Amino acid sequence: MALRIIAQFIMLFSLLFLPWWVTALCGIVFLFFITSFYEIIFWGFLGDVLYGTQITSLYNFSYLMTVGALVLFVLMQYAKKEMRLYEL
Amino acid sequence: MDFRQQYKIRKKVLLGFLLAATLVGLVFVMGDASSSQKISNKVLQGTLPFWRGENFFTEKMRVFGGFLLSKKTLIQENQSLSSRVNMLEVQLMSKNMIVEENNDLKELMGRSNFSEGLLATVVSKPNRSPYDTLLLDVGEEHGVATGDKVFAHDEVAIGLIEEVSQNVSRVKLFSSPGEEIEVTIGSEHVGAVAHGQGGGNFEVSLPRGVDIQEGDVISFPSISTEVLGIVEKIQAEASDSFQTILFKNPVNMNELHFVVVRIK
Repeated sequence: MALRIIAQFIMLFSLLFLPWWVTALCGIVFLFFITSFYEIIFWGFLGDVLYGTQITSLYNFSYLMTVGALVLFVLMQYAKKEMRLYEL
Repeated sequence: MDFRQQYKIRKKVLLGFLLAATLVGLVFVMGDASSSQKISNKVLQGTLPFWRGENFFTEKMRVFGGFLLSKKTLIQENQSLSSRVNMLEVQLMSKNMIVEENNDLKELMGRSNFSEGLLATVVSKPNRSPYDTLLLDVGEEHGVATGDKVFAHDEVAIGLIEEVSQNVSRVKLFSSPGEEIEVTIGSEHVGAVAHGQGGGNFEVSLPRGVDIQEGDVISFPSISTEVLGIVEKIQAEASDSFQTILFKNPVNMNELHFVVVRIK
């Protein structure tokens, strides 16, 4: 539980003050170490709300980080089930 | 079915429900522009104090960093900067005269391009997101509106105000990936369409016969002199009929501290 709370603070800090790829990296690490880290979808959404703009080449779509977080969440849930390392 | 299995199933159902609710909420917000904008405005207002704090802290750290430099380094830096300032002052004097003359002539011909400039602090730089956007600490209450042009160093056009809340505004850079803008290149004013590549970089494709040199100025096809970038590299293979021109803003977007918003 403590790790989960610390993770939220780290995600907020990195989202506000650090490059986006650091936030993405933190998200992946927390997805791996925290059971069902669904908060990542919220952080992705917050990133879009703060910085998002319509991307012309993606038919003016502006929720890239939310979708990215959602895809990461689903992929990591699946990957964790398949990993022997995670069972240990 | 034992208690542990029941617990696991309940947990899965709850997680599934939460995910589904989040998805429905997101689809609703993504589909409705006004509610999305309302949320965005509220969040931007809420996070502004954090960014102001960051700016204050980094400024203090910069001052503190100055104390740690050696005296010799500071003297050397001071000398080199003084000579550079002298050189630039001379250049600026002649440039100001030309600009004044240019403005007078435009006014004489009834084409004045004067618009009010508003100094703004950059609270969030483009590297914070994959969108290539800037956040400024000025908003509706300062007279900023959607579509206002944003300049670095008063002359280099960097983007347009895309969203405005009470005292924060979001700037979409011209260099945002996928953006297309009409530009003119060099002294011949060759017209072309530039494609944003992110981080202040652009790409233009032109027939090989068109004479473009590295260092040529790229500007907007307008009566005012708004610089967009400088040609950095020209790529052309002997077998190609087109040349690719790579250019970038003469300012580093990640080091920008202040910008000017030209209010329409």
